[in-house]
Order: sequence, then C-alpha cells, then structure tokens
Amino acid sequence: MNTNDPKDISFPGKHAEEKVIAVIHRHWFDIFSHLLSGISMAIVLIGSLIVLPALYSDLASGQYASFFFFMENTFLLFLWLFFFLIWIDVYFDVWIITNERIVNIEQKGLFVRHISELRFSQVQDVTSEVEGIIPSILDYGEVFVQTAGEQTRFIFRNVPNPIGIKDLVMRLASEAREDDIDEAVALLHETKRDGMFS
Amino acid sequence: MNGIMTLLYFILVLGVIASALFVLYHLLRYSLSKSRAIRAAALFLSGFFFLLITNIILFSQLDWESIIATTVKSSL
Repeated sequence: MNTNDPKDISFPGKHAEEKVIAVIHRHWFDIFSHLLSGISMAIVLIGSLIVLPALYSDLASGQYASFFFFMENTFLLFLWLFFFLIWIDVYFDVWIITNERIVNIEQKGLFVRHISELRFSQVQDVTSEVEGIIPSILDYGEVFVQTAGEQTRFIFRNVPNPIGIKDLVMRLASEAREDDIDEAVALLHETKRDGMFS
Repeated sequence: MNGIMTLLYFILVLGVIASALFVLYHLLRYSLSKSRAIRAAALFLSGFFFLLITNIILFSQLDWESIIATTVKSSL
C-alpha cells in the first residue's frame, strides 16, 4: 500500500510531529486506462511510421519524406506532453493516512486542486467496494468513509487493496476514539480533584 | 511562404514551451517527495528537449514553397 518512504513525504499542512503511515495512489490499472488513449495514439504513430512510407514511396525519400518525419515528430512531441498532462491529472490524486488524519489531494486538470482532510475522531463508518471482473482480479476498488463532518462521505477512488485500507482506517479511528475517551477521563479526574464536581 | 510558416511555427513552439512549463511546475511543486519530483522532471525534460530540438532541426530543413508548389502541381 505504501509506495514511498514515509520520511520523505511532504504535503501542504503537514504538522511537525505528524507521522505518515500510508500514501495511496490510484491503482496502476486505473492510471493505465486513463493513459490508454495516448498509448493507442503512440501505436498509430509507430504504425504510420512503418506502413505509410512502404505504401507511398514519396514519403520514403525526397522533400515529402522530410515533411512526413517533421509531422511525425510534431505529433510525438504533443503526445509526450499529453502523457504527462494525464499523468499529473491521475497520479497526483493521492490519499495520505497519517497518525492524526486522512488527507485527500485531488488534482482535477492542471489548474484545479482540492485538498480535504478528515480527522479520525470524525470517522463514523468505513466500507469498501470492489465491483467488476478486472477490479476483483486486480484487487482495487473504492473505500467510503462516513464522517461526522461537513463533508459527509470521504471517498478513496480506485485504490489498491481497499479492504486493507478499510481495516487500517477503522483501526486508527478506533485508537483515536480511545485516546479521546482517555483524555476525557483524565479531564474528569482533574476536575473532580479540583473540586468542581461533588 | 517560408516566412509565414516560420512565424506560425514560432507560435506553435511558444505554445509547446508554455505547456511544458506548466507540466514542469506541477511535477516540481506537487510531487510528494523531492526525489520523485526531480526524477519525474528529469524524465520529462530529457524527452521534451530531445523532441523539441529534433523538431526544430526537421522544420529548418523544410522548403515550404517547394512542398506547396509540388503539392499543387500534383493535384491539378
């Protein structure tokens, strides 16, 4: 699940004492399916580079050949940019689970970026969903976190090992509730000691 | 004709460089770790510069007037 050395991870708003437990990106197959159109275009490009000069001898030599290779190269340059634009749009969607909260960073295109966070004390319920033949075989799906906050549902989209993520979030939420209870009990003892309650 | 095509190509190159700068900015600014940011940027820039330079070289070898004249002649 964790694809990076947690010590190396930095994200907006990270607290100094906060520890990153897991960094989750979309499943590789989901990323691949977004890149599929670009891969198809690359295959068409390579095919045309081989087939067209064979079919049209003008493209194999002479001034038309120069023009043909220039157009192919221009197409490849646009394709290179296209691949990275898609990569940024898809791979930069990330869910970071720390010891304090879940941070969701969603990149929507180049100029829109949503960052939301959910503290474990706000987690009410967690469910995972794997639907379809390919997600079942490759073990990826969605995780829904029901919250008590303004954003009622927090969604991990097309992530690997959704059951493992669900278990992790449930465990951390449970620990956060125990910590809250311990804090509340400690506060109660303090106020009793100070004589605020008889 | 060569002048017009050169001007249009210059505009195209500016657009491509602007797009590349956007991509580079996002790779460096929004990657979660510095090492990944540098690796991704290095990969992107190496491919981008190679393709851009070869593109410019290929464009400089084109004689647009001759290409267009030959095309018009063969279509008539």
